[in-house]
Amino acid sequence: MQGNGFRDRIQDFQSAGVRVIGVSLDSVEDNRAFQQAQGYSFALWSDINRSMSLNFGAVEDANASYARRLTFVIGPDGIVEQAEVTKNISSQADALLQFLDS
Amino acid sequence: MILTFLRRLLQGLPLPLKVGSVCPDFSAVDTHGNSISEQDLKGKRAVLWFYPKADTPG
Repeated sequence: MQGNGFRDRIQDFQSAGVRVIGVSLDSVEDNRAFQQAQGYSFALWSDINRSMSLNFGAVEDANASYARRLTFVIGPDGIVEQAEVTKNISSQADALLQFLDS
Repeated sequence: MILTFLRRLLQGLPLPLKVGSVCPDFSAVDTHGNSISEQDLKGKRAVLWFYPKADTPG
């Protein structure tokens, strides 16, 4: 599970001063249950009106049922520092930490 | 890279937001029911990962 990679290295993200936030089209209730079941200490945001997914390019239109697996790094100034289609779920957290450290 | 771009263009699919762009406006809801906007990302670096479905592998 993609989130588990982040969960297992959450302290490294915190030490680097980086917030980790998962985003999906799921309801708040579904994401809360997911968060609790997996023991995620990071945020999960429900993109109810699809404004995030549309503006970040994770869905094609407002009727989409699922968000594409995209990952972004947003700087403290709101500038996009990294944007990628998530390919390797299991090594993603490690790769991001390397990028953040570079 | 260019092929992917052309294919997406031909298919009419949106390209992901590019590096260097400004984080767009949005509104979302966290698991406590709080409203979230792009303002909540200010001041600290953040990793945003979009996933298709809660509680599914990956």
